[in-house]
Amino acid sequence: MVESFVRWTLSTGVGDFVQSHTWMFPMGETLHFMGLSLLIGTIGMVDLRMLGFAKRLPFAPLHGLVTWGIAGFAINLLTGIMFWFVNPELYALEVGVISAYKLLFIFLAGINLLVFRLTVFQEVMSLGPGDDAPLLAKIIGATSLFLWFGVIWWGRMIMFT
Amino acid sequence: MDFIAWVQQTEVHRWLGESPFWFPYPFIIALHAMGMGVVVGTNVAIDLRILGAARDIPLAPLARFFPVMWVGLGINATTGVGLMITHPELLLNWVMWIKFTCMALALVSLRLLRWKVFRNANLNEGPLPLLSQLLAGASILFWAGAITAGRMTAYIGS
Repeated sequence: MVESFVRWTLSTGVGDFVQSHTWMFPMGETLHFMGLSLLIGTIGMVDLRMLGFAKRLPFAPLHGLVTWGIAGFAINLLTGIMFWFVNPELYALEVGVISAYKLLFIFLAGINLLVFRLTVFQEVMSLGPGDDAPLLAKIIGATSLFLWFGVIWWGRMIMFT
Repeated sequence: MDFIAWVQQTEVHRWLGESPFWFPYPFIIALHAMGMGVVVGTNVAIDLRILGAARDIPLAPLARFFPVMWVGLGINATTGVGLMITHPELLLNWVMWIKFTCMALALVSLRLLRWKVFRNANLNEGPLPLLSQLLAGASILFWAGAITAGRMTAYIGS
């Protein structure tokens, strides 16, 4: 199944198109690093506030930064798909296990976000300066930090192991 | 030149270059990406706030995140030295020096933000002066330049 997906990827010619423009792949990598920074910076600040750091910040305004984190994620989703089209054999076969871990961690971060939205979100959004977040929010914040740093870890392991 | 040859014959250079598994080289490079995310991401988030994004965020308590950036910076200075010992020839790459310059300018901007914006007693009253906004905008551009130049060292200049 993975092999046929790799074959399909190669048959689209998207990878060839990207590679015929030499600046495109390096620029995609650069954007991937910028998106990573935007995501980990904004989401990390929100996570830290839930964990009890910088408590003088009211939560809801800080949460406004998440829009920028989502923008970072969108940049990385697009550039990540571009990488896949250029090197499907590398990601799917040569380091398939590591790619799978990275995708799993991204998926789990999504689940974690869903749990946040469905449980303590409203309560946390009403936190004012000095207010402490409930325990579940702290667990969700710590999980988010662990998973997103884990995504960076697996992403780097793809290229360097 | 001699310095680079000297680094290349050290035991540390050899140890870093012969990574059998995820340690030490991949580990160092992963930490470097994480530290970058922390420093650049947090700094850019603060810059965006100064430029008017999420403007309900009170600025004064954001100063609490400066130590977080110092931690990220410490990680990246340390791992950066490790990476330079592994690839000392990068010192001969002019793109590397563009990265160093952009980083230096970004860090000067960060210090100026700390002094000029966050030391202001009337921090949360009224819109920020144009100078602060220019500083925040410059900070984003310098970090973007540092990331771009850092990636480009893999492709050009050597």
